[in-house]
Amino acid sequence: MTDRSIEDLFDRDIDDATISTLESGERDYDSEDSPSIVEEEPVVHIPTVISKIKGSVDIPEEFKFADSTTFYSMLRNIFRGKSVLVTGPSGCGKSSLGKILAEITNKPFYAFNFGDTMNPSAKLLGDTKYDSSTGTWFKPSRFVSALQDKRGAFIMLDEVTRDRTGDLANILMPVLDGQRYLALDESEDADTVKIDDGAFFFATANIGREYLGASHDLDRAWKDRFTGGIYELEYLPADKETELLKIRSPKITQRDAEHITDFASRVRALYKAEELNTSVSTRMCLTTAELVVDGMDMLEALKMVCLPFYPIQGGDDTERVRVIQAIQAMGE
Amino acid sequence: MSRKKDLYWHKTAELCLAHNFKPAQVAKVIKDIFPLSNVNGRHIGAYKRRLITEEVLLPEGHNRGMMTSNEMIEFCRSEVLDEDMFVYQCSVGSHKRSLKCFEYKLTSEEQDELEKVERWLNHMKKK
Repeated sequence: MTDRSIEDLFDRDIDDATISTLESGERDYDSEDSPSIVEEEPVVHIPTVISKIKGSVDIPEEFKFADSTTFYSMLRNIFRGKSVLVTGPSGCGKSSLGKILAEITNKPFYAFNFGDTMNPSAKLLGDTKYDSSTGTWFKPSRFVSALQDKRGAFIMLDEVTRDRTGDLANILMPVLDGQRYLALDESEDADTVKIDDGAFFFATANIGREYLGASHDLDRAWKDRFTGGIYELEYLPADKETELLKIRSPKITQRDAEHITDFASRVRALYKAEELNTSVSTRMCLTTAELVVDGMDMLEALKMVCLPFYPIQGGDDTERVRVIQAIQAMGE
Repeated sequence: MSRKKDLYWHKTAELCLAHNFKPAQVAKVIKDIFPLSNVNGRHIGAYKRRLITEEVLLPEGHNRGMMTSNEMIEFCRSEVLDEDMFVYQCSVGSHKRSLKCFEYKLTSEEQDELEKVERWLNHMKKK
């Protein structure tokens, strides 16, 4: 269009018919078939519990996590009083994680290991004692003291899957759910312990065919008490594990640390393929690194630390032979 | 997803700034409520600029009545959220140079391990 024709267009008087066309056009635009303009709500930044934790809390150097979400959401769960259950193979760092979290949150730390008791009810509730002058009396357990700690205890229930009696799960049911009490015996008028509002429960469990047998899993009702707080930890990725070895054994060389984690990765792959019944833990890697730093040959250290976990059997195709082959492959 | 950082002292700082407190004064209030915090006037100044950019705060300040520092400390203390106090505790915990549960590896006594081994060997020889 030329400049002249544009001027003509603007100078021209607009008649009624043109106006009506324009008005109809406006109506068309507003009709339902036409796209309507939706005003976008302005994005308002609202701080959340997790965003504040992420902004202010650093992941401790001494412990390497596969991802930061695990750590930050655990802190959120502690703040909200939601119990946490950490599952994973032995030696992947479950108990260390509990100690770290207790220290970071500055809560008084109480640990109860259920791998070392034949009588969970005595450990959780207490015991009856006899005194010649006063007679029989009930001594409440350390667990009862922890529940009542006014500072809000961090209570670690370590290796809960090691209890074969079933007592542990039954006693802890009302402790872990909304009822939050502990009955000291089964009678109707039994004394009950009211749990402090700040008390927090952190449970660890070994999950895997070598720990739980064929079922490989925990009781559903038990798991329900930890809904939203169940973490399935795996062994650390090789690069993080190498970093961890160097932090915990500063004198180990990069090359040796990489060799140890490389060996662990190979054995873990065999375990995943169900060719081995147990794996190499981070704890075993750390112990090997300590031996190497103290002057032991790498292959000897690996043999010393790892072989006792694999049974001695005859034949060329035993688990122990496979692990020895993996160790020898490191030397090559 | 927003990339803005949220910190436990932000709400307290915002309250003070809204009452015309200067960043250095705000830092004192925050130190009183969160004693182990490492927040200083420069941090507060940067946060004040952010609040102005976000139009939460007016550049020239509000017409609210001026409180004394002590009154402001009391006021802010009563307004601190449980979650901010929790995050503060965690922040202090995570900044510890070493965590106690790993102390056996990190204490200075462990530095001179070779000397320790040598002392132990000498002791064995004497026997």
